[in-house]
Amino acid sequence: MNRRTILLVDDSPTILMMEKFALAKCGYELLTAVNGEEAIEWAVARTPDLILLDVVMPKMGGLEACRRLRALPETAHIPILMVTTRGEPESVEAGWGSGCNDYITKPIDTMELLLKVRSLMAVSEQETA
Amino acid sequence: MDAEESTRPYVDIVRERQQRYVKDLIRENETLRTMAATLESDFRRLQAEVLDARSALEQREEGLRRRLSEIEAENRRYAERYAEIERQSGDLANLYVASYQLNSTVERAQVLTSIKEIVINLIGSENFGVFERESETGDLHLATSFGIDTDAFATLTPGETRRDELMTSGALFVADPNEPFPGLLASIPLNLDGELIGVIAIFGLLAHKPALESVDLELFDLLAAHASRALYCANLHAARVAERSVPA
Repeated sequence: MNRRTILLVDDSPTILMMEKFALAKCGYELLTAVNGEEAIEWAVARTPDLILLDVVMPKMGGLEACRRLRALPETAHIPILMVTTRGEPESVEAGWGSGCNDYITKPIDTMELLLKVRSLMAVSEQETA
Repeated sequence: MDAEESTRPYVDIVRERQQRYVKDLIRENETLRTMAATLESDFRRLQAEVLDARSALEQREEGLRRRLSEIEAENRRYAERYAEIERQSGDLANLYVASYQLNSTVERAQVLTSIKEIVINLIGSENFGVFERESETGDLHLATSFGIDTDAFATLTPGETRRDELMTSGALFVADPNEPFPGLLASIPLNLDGELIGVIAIFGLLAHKPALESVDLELFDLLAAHASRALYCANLHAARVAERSVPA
């Protein structure tokens, strides 16, 4: 059986490293990108099972990347977990509006991250089954 | 009817038959009474057996119920322990990441970026400043910041305000959540060999983070130790590069 793949997208090496630490032990294959453009390239090329997408990034931010991923037929179905420093309702609303499936706020709580990733992976598995 | 019987009076015959019939009835009654007694005894025995069996079943059910609740409680304890270990593992990973980022470069800009990233992403603040101390005057000069008025914080002189005094004291300051100190949440001294070379001052947390947590205090300790050395090394490196670039 193929390993489940997660695309981690963040311009912060600190966050990428932290996410890798949290998720690598669960056996996922992890891909990384540092902005929205790179994220779309990886998503089209590898069709990951889940994308963790930071909101504020150079070149192309997470909200725009999310909208574009939803518009592409080959990536439209991929669950997207938005990672944001903003927990205010309007920021969360903007995330939902862009088409993300769920969101998590920084600083990231590892347990919360693992729960959300497992839950989105389970939904994705059910849909593909 | 035989001859003798025909000669007997009819009444005698009827009486005799009646007596025979009554005897038969009494015998039959006796038999039925014995059967009823047997059935009653069987019924009582079976009833006792059923009661015993039911009691045994109830005891067994009670035992199983107790075991189930023990297993559920054990399961809850394991789940809580698992969550706690997972959290500790996450906290340790954060400390490792912070330490790794601080020690992975000697470029001053990179070190300052790492400090910023740690404060934003691991502590959860977007109102902070990283200051360097001028050894001659003791003034704190803003090296990098996020979300604060850079002009207002450009240079802080020791003793000017209570806040500046706390920041230049060389000791870790964390405001008491019950008695918040206005304008300063935490001041992390960057000491090297007992000398204060800088300070990370945190003025507020992200809106969705209500208070500092225990892992944040550990991050403060780590920053105090590693950020000071990283910043010192970066400054040395910058001075060395500048020295080399001066034509002989």
